Amino acid sequence: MKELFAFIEKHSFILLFFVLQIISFILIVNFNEPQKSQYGAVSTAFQGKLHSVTHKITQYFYLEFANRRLVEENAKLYENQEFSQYDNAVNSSVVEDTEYEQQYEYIPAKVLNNSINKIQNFIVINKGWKQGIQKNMAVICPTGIVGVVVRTSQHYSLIMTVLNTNFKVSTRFKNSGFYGSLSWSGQNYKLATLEEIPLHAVIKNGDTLVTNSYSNLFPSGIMVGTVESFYQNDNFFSADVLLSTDFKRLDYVYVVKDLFKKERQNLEGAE
Amino acid sequence: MEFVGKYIIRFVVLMLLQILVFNNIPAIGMISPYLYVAFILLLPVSMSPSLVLLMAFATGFIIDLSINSLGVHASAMTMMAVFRPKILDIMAPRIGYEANNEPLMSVFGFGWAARYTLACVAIHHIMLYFCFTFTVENISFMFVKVLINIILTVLIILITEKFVIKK
Repeated sequence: MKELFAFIEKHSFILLFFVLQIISFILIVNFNEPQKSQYGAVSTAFQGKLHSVTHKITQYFYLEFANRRLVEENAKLYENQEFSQYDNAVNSSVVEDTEYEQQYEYIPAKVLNNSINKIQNFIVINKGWKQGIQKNMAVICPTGIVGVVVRTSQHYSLIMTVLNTNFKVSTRFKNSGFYGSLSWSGQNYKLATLEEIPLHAVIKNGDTLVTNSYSNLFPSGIMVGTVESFYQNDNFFSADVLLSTDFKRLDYVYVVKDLFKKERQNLEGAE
Repeated sequence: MEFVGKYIIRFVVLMLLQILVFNNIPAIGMISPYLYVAFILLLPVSMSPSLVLLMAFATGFIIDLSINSLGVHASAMTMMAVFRPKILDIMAPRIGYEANNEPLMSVFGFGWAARYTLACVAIHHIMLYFCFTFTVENISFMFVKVLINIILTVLIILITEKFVIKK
């Protein structure tokens, strides 16, 4: 206290000056319109700046709290996520039309287990017979074909993928219509082999291959892959096909339900 | 008492001149000399700086009241008064000031008075125009205006000193 008085006494002149200047300043901004508005503009900007700076500083001290809260919130969100819950619903959409009759329904499913490095590769999806999945249904994904259902349980299904030496599917060239049989040699997960292409077929590298309807398995026109290279094999052409489906990154697939399957099977079986 | 009376008369005369004459120059806005600062300038050298400061504030405040610009002249005057001791220090003659010395032209000569007046008036006017505008926009125009008024004020003060205020 003593030092304070000593300080005031020592610097009384300068302190008096500042007091008088502050009084003047207050008078100016209170009784002069142009200065008042000028001061208002500046002080508003200053207050805004000050507020943003203090907010930044105080925010930092709340980070830990915010972090903890976010972690809790995250855990809750994980619990609500699809992968935490079993989906009983069958989200197939049916188009009602008199001219076109719905032939295929698509049941979305998530891939739970996947393998690509065996000779016989299978994937497991989270939909089973409870959702209407049956043996021999086709499975596709947005980029191409995936495989065929070989076994179902109540909630899960086992799918034999294209990457299985037992898998065979009839495909055709999208532009020329020639068809061949696609199988997998068991080596490269990106490449499959297309065999039994007639010698008079005009093929070139990069030709697109799609499914055809001969097999009674896939809907017609689903993307399979593109021709990587081809060579003559006895009386046929054979081609290496670059599969359009990336089996390493399978996530969601659609199980194709053919509503006319039984009808066609009965007809073909009766023949 | 006679000493104080002289300053009171000088104060009243300068204030009346400022308020009645110089504040009513037709070309207002561009030309406005402020003769009244001479009152603070010509106070005795040995006078307490704090007292000069208070008087400067009061003088400015009265002028503010007369032209309805509360705080503007008071601020400029205190700014000038705070630098006055420093200026006097710098401009002190080799032998120093004598007791009861007044910073008058008749005491220290025309050159000294001109420099002293110019320094003080410049501080006053720059502060004054800053308080009037509160911005640094139009700085070149303001600079010209301030310069003209500084010269004008200094001339009028020096003329007053030469012919009216004698020792």
